Amino acid sequence: MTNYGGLQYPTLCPYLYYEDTAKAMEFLERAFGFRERFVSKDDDGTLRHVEMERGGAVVMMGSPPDHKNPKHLGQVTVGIYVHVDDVDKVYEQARAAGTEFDGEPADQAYGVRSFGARDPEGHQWWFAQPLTAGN
Amino acid sequence: MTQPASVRVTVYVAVDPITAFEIFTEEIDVWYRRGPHHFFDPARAAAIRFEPGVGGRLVEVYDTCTGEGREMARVTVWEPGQRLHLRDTRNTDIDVTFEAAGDETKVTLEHRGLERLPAAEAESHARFGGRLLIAWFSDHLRERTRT
Repeated sequence: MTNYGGLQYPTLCPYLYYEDTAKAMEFLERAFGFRERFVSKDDDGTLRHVEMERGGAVVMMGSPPDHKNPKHLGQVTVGIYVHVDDVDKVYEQARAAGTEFDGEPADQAYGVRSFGARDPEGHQWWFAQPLTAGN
Repeated sequence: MTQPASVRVTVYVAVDPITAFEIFTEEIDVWYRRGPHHFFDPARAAAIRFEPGVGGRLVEVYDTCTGEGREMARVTVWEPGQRLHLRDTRNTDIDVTFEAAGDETKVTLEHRGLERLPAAEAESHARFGGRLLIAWFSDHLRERTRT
């Protein structure tokens, strides 16, 4: 962890680019249970930099000029993998929010119960819960 | 690169909104951290206090007998358990809202008007400023509810 400016940062923080960061924030909160923790704006109200957190995870977000999201690019280029305590509950929350999924929650041979999902701009997310805690 | 015009920091604290508001205002001298950059005159600053209500001051106290010192900001909205708005002496706005969120209270501090400051000062406020203030408050509440 790194601490500066009053906030704690995991060693690795994905920085996700969106064409509409405000809409993405709303979706990540409603569907995946992330909570806003930091926002900076320009004087015309344009979002400059956003941070959301879930448990100990932090994602940074923003909208670079002329950015093409995975949906417009036609392919996913990275997957965000999040460990959670109750994967089925997260799935239900995401389903209620109208999320597009890459499969339902399933026990995987490598020791987690997980599902994949897409956010509205096509970024791929994985949510996983260990099948056996502590091992 | 120009500095942002506003920064907004959100924390969740394990008390109700009224209590969070009271601790933010009445206990500021407990959680506001001393430091060379946190007062106008760190050598003279003995305390910090709010004068409750609209028109009240946030005072950097130099004389603990009288409670007088230098005005840091003026209260423009005082709604216990809901909202506190300050206009500081540099003409920037600090807006703090308190909102029930399940068993917790969502406390959001937005510092606006940074575009009115010289670039270096705006950068300092964007990087530290309200971010530190809300972190100190949050840390204090965590310690307070633990004991």
